[in-house]
Amino acid sequence: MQTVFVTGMGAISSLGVSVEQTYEALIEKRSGIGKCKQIQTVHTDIPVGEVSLSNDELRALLKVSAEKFSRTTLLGLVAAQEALDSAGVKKDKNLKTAVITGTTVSGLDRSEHFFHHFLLDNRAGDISNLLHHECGTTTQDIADYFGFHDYISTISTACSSSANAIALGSRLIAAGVVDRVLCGGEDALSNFTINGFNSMKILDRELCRPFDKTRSGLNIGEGAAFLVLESKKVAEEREKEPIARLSGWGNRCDAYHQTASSPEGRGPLQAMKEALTRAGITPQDIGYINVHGTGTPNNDITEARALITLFGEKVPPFSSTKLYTGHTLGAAGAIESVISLLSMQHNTLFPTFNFRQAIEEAQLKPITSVTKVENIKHLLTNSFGFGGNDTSLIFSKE
Amino acid sequence: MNIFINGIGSVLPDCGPDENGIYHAEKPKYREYIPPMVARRMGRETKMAVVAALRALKEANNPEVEAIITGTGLGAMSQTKQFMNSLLENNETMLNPASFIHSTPNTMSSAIAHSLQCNGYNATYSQRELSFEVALSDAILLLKSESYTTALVGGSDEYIQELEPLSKLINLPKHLSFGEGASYFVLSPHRTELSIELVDLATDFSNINAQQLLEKTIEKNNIDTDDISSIFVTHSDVDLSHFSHAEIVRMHPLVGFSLTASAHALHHAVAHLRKKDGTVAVVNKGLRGETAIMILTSL
Amino acid sequence: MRKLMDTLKQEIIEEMHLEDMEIEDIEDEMPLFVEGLGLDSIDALSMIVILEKKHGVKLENPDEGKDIMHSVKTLAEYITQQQA
Repeated sequence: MQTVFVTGMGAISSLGVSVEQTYEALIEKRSGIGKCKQIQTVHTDIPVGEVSLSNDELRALLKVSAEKFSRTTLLGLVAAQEALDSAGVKKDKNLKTAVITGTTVSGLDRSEHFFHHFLLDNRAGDISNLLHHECGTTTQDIADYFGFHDYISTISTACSSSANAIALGSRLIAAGVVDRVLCGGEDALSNFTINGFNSMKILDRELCRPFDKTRSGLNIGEGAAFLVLESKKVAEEREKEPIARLSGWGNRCDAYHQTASSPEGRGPLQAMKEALTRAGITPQDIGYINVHGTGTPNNDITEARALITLFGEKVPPFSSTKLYTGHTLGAAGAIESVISLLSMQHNTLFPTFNFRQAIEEAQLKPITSVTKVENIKHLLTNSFGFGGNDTSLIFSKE
Repeated sequence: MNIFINGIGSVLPDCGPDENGIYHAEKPKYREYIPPMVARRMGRETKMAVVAALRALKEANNPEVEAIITGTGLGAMSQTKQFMNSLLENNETMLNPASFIHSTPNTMSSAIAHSLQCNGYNATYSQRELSFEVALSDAILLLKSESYTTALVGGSDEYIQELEPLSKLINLPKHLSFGEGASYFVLSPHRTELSIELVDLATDFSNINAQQLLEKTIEKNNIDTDDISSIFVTHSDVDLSHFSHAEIVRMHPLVGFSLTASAHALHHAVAHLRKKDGTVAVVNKGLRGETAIMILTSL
Repeated sequence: MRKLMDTLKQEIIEEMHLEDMEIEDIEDEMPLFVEGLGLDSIDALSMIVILEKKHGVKLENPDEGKDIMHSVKTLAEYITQQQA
């Protein structure tokens, strides 16, 4: 098995259009949650984590022609470009390069447009918009843009999509199938998802309060993040200092309910355990956990129970950063991987800064202020989704 | 390591196209497979997937499943459409969340996991016409590199009326029209009496000529051109003139066009090999040039 | 009251996609959730939509409505009381 290194990363979210801007917002405790500007919706009172750039501004940034890509693809391209630049890589004929992305919304903004017109008149509506509905189109557009055609794949496991994309990327390198992977995920805000979560009555009208006794729901966000993964061999040959090593992944299905977690957090627990086993470490080795922590009553209590079952009295320092970015759905796993890697790089943990009171039953307290730590050797990041698709990733210092 | 297909199950078009040329899948007695209270919120793509999966497992003597992987081009289209229309009609207020909750593409894999009470690996892939193949390649990787021993992998897509105008846009030849269905497979490194060997899966995203990729793939596996007895083709425009000895089976007249038609082609290929020994290929070509080859052999 | 209860049953059958059921299959005092009819938390959200959309009665969340949504009878009583 090849050792898998992270050699580049890129991110765009309501915190900013680059990893650097993301880091600044995190240490300044500046949340990206605010009023919705880009989407036409009657729900103007619902706060969201929106990328500040319009589609036109994103196109200008990327120098691409008008109308060609969905917003989801545009977000993905920005983050993917940054990841490739930070890794210092381009298309290389001698290295097999895969593009793996996770998305759940994909081109819904475009299909919404189609259905809107189709509903009014079944001969109207530009049917080409519906083509973007297919999740793989987003990945194909990104792969075409950079010219990577060795392997392309798209994972759509709801809110764990991009975590699974990163896991698959690492498996392809570990098995020697490819040398390098551009992997991550992207999801744009859409009327569909805002209304969907609103109809489920799990959107907080204020800033979300992950792991807090008074939590009452999530804030939905948008964004994209990408990692460049390379085999140790490839990275060493070009003398590239890795950011981290991807040392473990776990993918389990809760198999309990389409949206609610099992009371004991069976899927989350098994996913975390599996990741630890693959990484060959014990729970005590984990120096930080970026929890899924959406702020919904159901997620946080079941995730808390799983953490307590796994770590007992010694739950490692943890935080949810969804009060910064909002829940970016399919992109969440990748964005939170980047945030976790920033913690590792800077020996700094980013807080769930509005936390006040612990959930009575669990009594778990996240990090509440920007915290300097000595050395994080291993960290864990959780991503759980609809359908009980639960995934955990472990990153380690070399 | 050799990979074997030890069980197949499908819900496929069984009686040719309707008056509009659409290939509708058979309508199994769903209540024999899925409790009605569970089935009531599922779109057809999910119901078909669960039935196909259960049929495949039954054939393989119901082994314990360690991984469930689905490829789907368009996911839960009818649920997506239902929620979208509802939000437009009701001006975003008073919406029933049931269709939203079941609109994510991973509904199929998770419904199968729920039905089997399987906490194992679970994933869903969409990659246009190669949606099934990228799902299959994940399963193969799990078996070969992660020591999994049983993976359930399949493809499912449903037809909804709104897709019809798309046929012009994606340049479907006139005589071809949309189809739907689900096909699932039980994969294992362990051989059984029913086993058909999946010799290789090759994918290419660089707009390679399909015949060229087929030739490359059989050469890699030390198979002669003349040894390929049948070729199952999802896209009619593929040139296979170098394989003059092989019987060419066009899948379109059997199952119509869908983004997971290659899963159905694989089903037909396995069924064929169970009746008649030999080595066959499945050739799938997407509209943006993506190409996949599967090579199968009887034992 | 009788008419309102039958209307509610019809609405439940439609909104909850209980396609194979008839009005007669739902008894007035039968528990709607878990045991009884076997509805779940997603149905509870659908029920709130029925109450608001068809009967102009607002419920903020399912927890608050646990007793109200116990059976068709309790629902009908609550609607009548609210509309009075």
